[in-house]
This record gives sequence, C-alpha cells and structure tokens, in this order.
Amino acid sequence: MQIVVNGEAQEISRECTVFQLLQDQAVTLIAAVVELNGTILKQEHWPSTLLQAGDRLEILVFMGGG
Amino acid sequence: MNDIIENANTSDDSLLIGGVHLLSRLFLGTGKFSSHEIVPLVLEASGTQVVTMALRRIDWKNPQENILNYLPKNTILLPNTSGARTADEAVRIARLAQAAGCGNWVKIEVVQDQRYLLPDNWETLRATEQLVKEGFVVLPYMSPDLSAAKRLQDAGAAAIMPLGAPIGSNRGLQTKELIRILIEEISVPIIVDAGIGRPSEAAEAMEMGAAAVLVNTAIATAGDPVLMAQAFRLAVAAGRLGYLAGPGERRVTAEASSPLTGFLQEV
Amino acid sequence: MFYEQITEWQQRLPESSWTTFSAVDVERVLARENLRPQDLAILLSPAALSYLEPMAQKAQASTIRHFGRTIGLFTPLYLANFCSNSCLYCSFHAGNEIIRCKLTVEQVVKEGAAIASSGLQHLLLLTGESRTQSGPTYMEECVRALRPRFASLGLEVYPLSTDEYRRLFEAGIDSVTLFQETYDEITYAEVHPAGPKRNYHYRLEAPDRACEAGISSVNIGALLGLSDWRRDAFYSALHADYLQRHYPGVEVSISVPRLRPYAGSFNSTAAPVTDGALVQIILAYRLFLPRAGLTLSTRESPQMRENLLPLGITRLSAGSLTSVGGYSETDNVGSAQFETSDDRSVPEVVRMIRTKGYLPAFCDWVNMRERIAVAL
Repeated sequence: MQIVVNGEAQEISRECTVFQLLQDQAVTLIAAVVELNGTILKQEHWPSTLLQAGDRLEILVFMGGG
Repeated sequence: MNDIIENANTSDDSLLIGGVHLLSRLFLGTGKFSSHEIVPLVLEASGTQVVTMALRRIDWKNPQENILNYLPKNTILLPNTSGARTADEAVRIARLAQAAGCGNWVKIEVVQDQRYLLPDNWETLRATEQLVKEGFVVLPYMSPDLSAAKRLQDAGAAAIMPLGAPIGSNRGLQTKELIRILIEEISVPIIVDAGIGRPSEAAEAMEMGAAAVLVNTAIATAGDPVLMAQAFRLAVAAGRLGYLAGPGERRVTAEASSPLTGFLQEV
Repeated sequence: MFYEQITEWQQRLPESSWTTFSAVDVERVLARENLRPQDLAILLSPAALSYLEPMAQKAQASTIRHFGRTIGLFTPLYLANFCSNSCLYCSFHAGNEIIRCKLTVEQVVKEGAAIASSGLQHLLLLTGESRTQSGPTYMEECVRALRPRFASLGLEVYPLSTDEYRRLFEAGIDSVTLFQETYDEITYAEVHPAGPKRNYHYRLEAPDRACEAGISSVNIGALLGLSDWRRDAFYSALHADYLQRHYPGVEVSISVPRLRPYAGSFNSTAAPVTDGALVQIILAYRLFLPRAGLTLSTRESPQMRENLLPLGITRLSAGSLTSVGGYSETDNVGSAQFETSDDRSVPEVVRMIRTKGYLPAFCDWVNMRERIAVAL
C-alpha cells in the first residue's frame, strides 16, 4: 500500500505501525515528532497505530538553528 | 578576569524570563556549525543557558542525528518556528515542538521575505497572541518597530527579540536607534537577535541596555568557534557591567562658550 | 490613573530624600540620554544647584533639536471673572470685592478682532469658575463666535466633564490648559477652602477627560510657590510624562507660573521660588521631558523672560491683559486676575525674540477640523 511521508509517496509492503516505520528507517526516536493526517501523534501511541493506505505522515526532528 | 565575569553573572543581576532566572545573557543558536560534535564545546565556552534549534522534516535518505543529543541536560530549549510563513504555520510548529518534549518556550519566527529574511511583524503578533493563550513562553523575533513591540508586549510576549541586521549577515547593530527606542519604551526584556557579527557589537547592545543577545552565525562560522564563544561570553558580560555602571557623560565641548545662567549672579 | 503614581512616589521620595542626592548623582543624570523619574528628582534636588550651567547648555541643545529656534506666541482672553471658588491666592476669589463682569458674545467678537489685529493667531480663553455665569454653553457660544478669526483656540477654565470637553472640542477648542495648582493634597485643601475646586481628584483627572474627548493638546502645571516647589515641580513633570505615555497622540506641555501679587493678602508659608529655583525647574522639566512644550506667561518680568527664553521655553504669551474686556476697551472692564510683569506690546515682544536669535511664530498650527469635515 502507499502512504505519503514528508510529502513523498512511499510503498510499504506489509502491515506496519508508526513505531516500526521509524525503526526501519533508523530514525533517532528521541524528540522526534510525528503528525499523522494533520494531527500530532503522541509518542506513546506510535506502537499501537497501524498505518492505513493513503495516510499522510510528517516526521520531524530537531536540527541546528538560530 | 574570572571575578569580572562572575560579578556580571551574579544572581543579583539575573534575567527573569518565563519564571526562570537566567545567569547568562548570551543565547546561542545551533545552526551552521561544521559538526554536531563541536556544539557542546561551544556551549561550554559560551556559558549559555538558552539554546535555539529548528524543527525540520527528517531526510529519509540521509537521516541526521538529532541535535538534542548534543545539548546538556539542563539547557533551556528554545525551538524556533523557522520555515513558517504565516502565523498558523508558526503555531503548528510550536505545538509540534512542544509535543516533542521541548518544554513550552518558543521563539516565533515568521518570514515571508526570502531575500532579506525579514520577519513579518503582523503574522508574528497573531502567532504570539495564540501561543500565549495556549500557555507558551513566547519570544517573538521581530523587525524593531515600536508599535509592533508594544502590541507583542500587550499580547503577553515574555521578551521581544528585535533584529540588529538581517539573519546571518554579521553586519552588526544596523537598527541601533530603533532598538534603543524599544529598550527605552518596552518593559519586557529586549533581546537583540540576528545580525550581531562581532563580540564588540554584542557588548555595544548590552551597554545600551539590551537584556540579552542571541548569537549564532558569528560563532558558528568563526575560524575557531570555541574561542569565539568565549569572546562573546566576555563581551556580553563586559557590556552588561558597562550598562549597570552607568557610563560618564560624553562631552562635545570642553566648556560652554557663553553661559546661559550668568544672569542669576547679576544684581 | 495618575493619582496612583503620586502615592507610589510619595513612598519612594519622602521629604528627607531631597538632600540625600550628591554631585555624583547629578553628573550621572547629565550623562544619561533618557531620564527616569528618579533622575528628575535628582535634577530638582539641592545637589543640582551647582550644575545649572551644564544643565542649561544641555537643555538649550535639546530644545533646539526638538523645536528649532522657534517661539510660539499666544495671548489670553478673559471672558468672565465670576467665581464661586475661594482660592486664597487669586483675585477672582468669591469673597473679594472686585468688579465682576462677563463679556457678551458681541463683546467677545470685538475683543477677538482687537487681538487678531495684532497678528496673534493662538488664543487662550479664560473664565472664573461659575457654572451659572460662564457655563459650558456660554463658552461654546464664545468659541463658535471666535473660531473663524483664529488658527487655534485653547481653553483655560475649571475642570469639565468628558462630554463637556467633547462639546467644546466640536465647537472648535483644540487645547486645554489646566493647572493642578499644587499636587500636595494638604496644601490643596488649605488654599481652596470653599467652592467646587475643593475636589482635588476631579481636577487631577481633568486632563485625562480632555484627552479622551479628542482635545489634541493639553497644558498642565503647578502654581509654583503654593507648596514645596521641588515636590510640585516633580509631580507636574511626572504628570506630563504620564499624559504623554497614555495619550501618545496628544501634545503635552507644561507651564511654569510663579505666585504673583494679586488683590488679596495671601502669604504662602512655602519657600519662595527664587529666580535660581525657577531656572532649575525649567531645566529639569526640559531635560526630563524633551518633547514637551514649555510655556512662560507674562507673570515674569521682561528681563526674566529674556533670560529664561533660551533655556528651553517654546511658547510665550504676549500683549497679555488679565482683565475682562481689556483689549477693545469695552465699557465694562472687570478686575484683573493677577498683575502682569511684562506689559510690552506684541511688536516689542517680537523684537525681543528676534534679538535673542529666535523666530516668533504667530501661527504654528491650524485647527483644520471643520475644514476637513467639509472636505470629506
């Protein structure tokens, strides 16, 4: 199925939670923040949230900035 | 020399923002450093307590390490809303940053002009009003304009951050006169943000009565960022002491040519 | 409201504190760009006495920077001298047996014509406090009758309500002058033993009401010498500062009237305001309030007016008569409010201002309200 991550379409082959997606991509989980279809998804809900076809995800982390 | 720094940093002269007494009046931005590894060294040399950073979409193909991993535990995090072009976007970024566990401080930065990166005071005010309502400690970055600053203050901004010159320009206090007016007329702390390129310029801002300065590019792009961070620490402390001491009068003329009050001695 | 600031500063600046300031404090204030209330107190303190010359140099430079070398001219027109107050220091005192009268609207027009023929364009209208003889409706009639002849009309009468100020503003008044006389409540009660003027607070808040009614210029001050002049000067300047901050669109100015001889026999127990003290007050006002106008009346002698002019004065009254109906020598000339010291004619005052290197301005602002309303 297809989902949109940070504006780009991605193909996921299997059933997958938000938590698994982030782990697969080796994202540092500390202070990452996820927006699912425009709503902030709290970190404690990542493992229980199954991705659906057409979901739009924004995954953000902190970078250097002034 | 350490005594001098200590004196400028005594708790008697702490800066109160959002209920926190800050001993250091140097805020630091974490952008543009050559590596994340140098950031903690710079922070230590600068003595800073408040650090800004930006929230960005992660790069899937090339996941970078989170800057937070390099910041000491007791640092006060001041996420900015860079990238926001409207108040709504700034509010959204602030909420995301809060959800990421960054505390409730936020530096509002709303920029539409992509050439000079000058902030949009109107959108900044709208975002400030909203975020104050939501309980954030809001520090808006703004173009130094008295009416806008008064409105931001009335909206509940914890401090006002006027720019000295365009972001990253290292051009110093180009807006000095306007900042001077803000310092005089606004009662919340004025923190000069953007443009400060040299330690002497930070000292100048502090001597004018700025409550603090925020520096990033000047340190990040210095030949030796750690040494430059130390220079800024000393400059900010020196400027602050100069302000507290109250400078002597600058005399244009040595002696009045024709006395204006001589008539009082007549008769 | 400003009264809160008075109470706050009474705590912070007790009687004894005036002598605690030192020469070093004065020098530090002189080095500052923008003065705070505590700096104002230092400039009014005995320590500043030996710094009058540097203060004067600074005051002059600041005035020229903000106002140029210009002196605005105005003249008072007394409409009536009926009064229900008993101010111990004033000839219009209800108990004084003086000639009482009020001008009819025709006489007002005649007086206006006589003044206008001297070239003066700014007129200040005065009455005693009598709601029956010179109430707001009477004032309004006079204002409408004079309006076409003058560039601007000011009002120096008893405190009015916001609605009354609004009515007079609509009729053509653009400035309001109102002196608190003294900010010290005890002295205030002593020197105003009877009459509506006893209400200290109603008077204190009158400038606020005028500003709210749309008046674009307010002039305040204390009658120096009624009470401790240091304190009165301090609170006058603080009051002007308060008005500037609260009504940014309003031009605030301050007058420096000294107690003058008048028909009656009041002797203030307060220290007299010497020439040196008056100079110190003017300089402190100027340095603390760089953009406020400073008004000097004909209460001062020609010599004194000439000497004070370059210290920071921006407005002078000229050719002033303080009696009712004096300009056109109408049949009923009422007694004068106080003796003027400078009896020189308008051309003489103009010549004096020129000799001092300043430009006399007969008109530096025109109230365009009606004209704009017509255009719209």
